[in-house]
Amino acid sequence: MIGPEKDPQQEGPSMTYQAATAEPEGGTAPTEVAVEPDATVPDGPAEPKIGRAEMPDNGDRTRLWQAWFAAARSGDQAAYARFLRDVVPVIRGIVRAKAGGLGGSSEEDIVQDVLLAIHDKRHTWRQDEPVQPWLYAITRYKVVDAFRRRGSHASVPIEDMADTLPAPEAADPTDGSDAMRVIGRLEPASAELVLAIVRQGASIRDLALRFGITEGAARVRLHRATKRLGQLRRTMIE
Amino acid sequence: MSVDAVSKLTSGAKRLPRRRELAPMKLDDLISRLSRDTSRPQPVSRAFLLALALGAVVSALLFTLALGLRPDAAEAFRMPQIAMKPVLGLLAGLGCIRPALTFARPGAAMRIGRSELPLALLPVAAALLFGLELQRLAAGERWSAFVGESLPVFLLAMPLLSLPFLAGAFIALRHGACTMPVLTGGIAGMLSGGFGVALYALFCTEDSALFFVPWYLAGIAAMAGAGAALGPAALRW
Repeated sequence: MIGPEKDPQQEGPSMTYQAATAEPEGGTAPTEVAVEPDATVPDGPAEPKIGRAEMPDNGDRTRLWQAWFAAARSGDQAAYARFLRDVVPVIRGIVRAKAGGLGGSSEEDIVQDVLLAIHDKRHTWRQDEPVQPWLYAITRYKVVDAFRRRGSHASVPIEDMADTLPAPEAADPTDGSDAMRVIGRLEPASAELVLAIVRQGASIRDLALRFGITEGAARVRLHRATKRLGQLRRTMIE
Repeated sequence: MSVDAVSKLTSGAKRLPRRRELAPMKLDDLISRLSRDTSRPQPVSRAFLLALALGAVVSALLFTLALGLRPDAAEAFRMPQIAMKPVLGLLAGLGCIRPALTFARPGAAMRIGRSELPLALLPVAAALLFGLELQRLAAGERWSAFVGESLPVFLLAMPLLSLPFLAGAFIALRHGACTMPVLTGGIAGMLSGGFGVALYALFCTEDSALFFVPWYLAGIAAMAGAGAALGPAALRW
């Protein structure tokens, strides 16, 4: 009685759809936000899809998502499919940023997990609230969940990662003494700053005193140095 | 290498590459499959209130079977201090309903409003009752009033009366999507402790605030702790 069963009094999908077009709940009629089918999409899906060229800016997209998802709630299947398609790249971006180390197939698994979660938990979104925080919270949760599951099943078959694991010779240059090579490529001032922290355990205050700058400036320099280190590390791996 | 590891290795080797090949196809399939499902799950709030009502029925049943209303209930609950005993629990229970529902929705912002008023009144009422009783009693009487005579009964019965509420709350919250399970579990625990205490207060004849204020609050806090501990396992989705 508590699970997501259908309400016995609920009307069929076609009925609710008609009701939705008659008086849209989200304030915007689904027809107003419908985007023309994009002829350039090669694998021609049944529902219209937004091409890259007409990808709306963030504000527009938020409104589109809101309207699509609201229409989906009233039974508009096309709007729901459009919504799901349109959020996939964004979800994939978040997943990649947070779980990049898990490898390509895991990323896609998480993306699909997120889509399933969106569907299973669609009733936890309220129409008067923005859809993005809801979506991002679900995505974050599923990414963390994927890490946790991976952590608890420590024996991941290595074959699965053969494509994504770096070859042995391309070892991470920040490991062990190789880290010094990366730091050595920094500008001398930045390298001194990083070494002061790494080798002598200097604090921000120490840095400020040593370089005769404010703590804020020291923080900024450190931030720049670490950012540059990251760049160097990436280029040196490749 | 254990048998288990071998089976994992082989099953994984079979399963995952196929997924990778079919990933783009499968995504489209998934989307069209999901979008065709136009059923509308009921909101969490409805399930939650239903579950709490069911928890109340089970708890009340337990209560009548094992404890029963105090014999002098009719006169006793006319006295403000005694009437406040169940009210303390109700404040905790009612005040937690909306926060629990808020945290059942991903990304929802907690807004403090009128429905959290009971939670603000709880410490005020507790401090007032406790302070007045402290003044009323002579120094020598305080300790025995605090320890009371029915503490073991309370420590056993109160969690049992709270459990149906906790189970109901967890089942209903699983219908939602808790992204902060420790916090949400703690709120659900506090809610169940509040209602459990409110029910227990109808039986309990220890009417000194030095007894019931600290112990009732401790009971509610313990249930909150239990809820927080169980949350990550119970509220996963």
